Amino acid sequence: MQLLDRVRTEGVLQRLSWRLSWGMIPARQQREIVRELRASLDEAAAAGQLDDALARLGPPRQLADDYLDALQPRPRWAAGILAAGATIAVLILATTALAIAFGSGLDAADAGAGRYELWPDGPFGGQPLVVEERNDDGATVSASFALFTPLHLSATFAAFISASRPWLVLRRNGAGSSGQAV
Amino acid sequence: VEDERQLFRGAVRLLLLQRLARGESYGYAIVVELRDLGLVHAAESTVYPALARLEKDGLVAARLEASGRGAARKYYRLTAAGRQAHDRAREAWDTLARAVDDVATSEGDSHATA
Repeated sequence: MQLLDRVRTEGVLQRLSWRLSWGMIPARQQREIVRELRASLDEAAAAGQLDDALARLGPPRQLADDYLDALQPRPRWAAGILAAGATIAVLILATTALAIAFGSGLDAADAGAGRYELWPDGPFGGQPLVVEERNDDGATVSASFALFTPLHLSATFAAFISASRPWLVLRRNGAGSSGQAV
Repeated sequence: VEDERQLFRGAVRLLLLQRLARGESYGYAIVVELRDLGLVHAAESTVYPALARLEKDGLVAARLEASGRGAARKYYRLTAAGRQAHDRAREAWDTLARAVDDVATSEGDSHATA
């Protein structure tokens, strides 16, 4: 295949690949589709039929939509739950580390008795991220941190949505009406 | 033309099952073969997504084979489920074709009587 033809075919395949990834076709399946079409276009070019083959392929966007209708990628609920759980675990670990660091800072500063709050005006629903109570000796009486704040819940929800892709349910329902006749 | 295109899109699944019932083949060869049979709406844009759907539904299995003309070809063959689907689709098509013929014949008779 000549260089110009290669550039044309790769441009089409690249646009198709982008549309397929936008439609949530898994990367491995995208590669298989592109590889198959590349083989087809190579063969058409060898037969002097590349222009016809590219015309029959149509716009990459339409072709990608046809693949999406055919393959109907599904929501990944288990992946969403896993991502949400992982987000909660990371938030707990990160906040625990922050609480320990906060306590160490108070120790270093010889903080006396009292109630100490970290980030009381932060974006945690009007509550401090870490609260540490100390007695007269400067020892920690209790330490607690906020977890189910609007920010944490939003991060967990965002992780669930981005991993599970629930909008694909709508696409599947929409594609259900365009089934093939025979 | 749009009617013909829609008719082809409706029959492409059966055409692919029918073709693969004769033996394995790959996308580009099937497109060329269908066009040589006079199906001018047979195109890569229709055939490849339909093959992908058949593979997803487990009606065909695929294997890659190196080609001397560039990237490896993806060959498809019918599975056992594909053969059953082919038989059912063929029966449905025959019934439909007979019904169309019968309606056309009865219309011809009624015109002749009138």
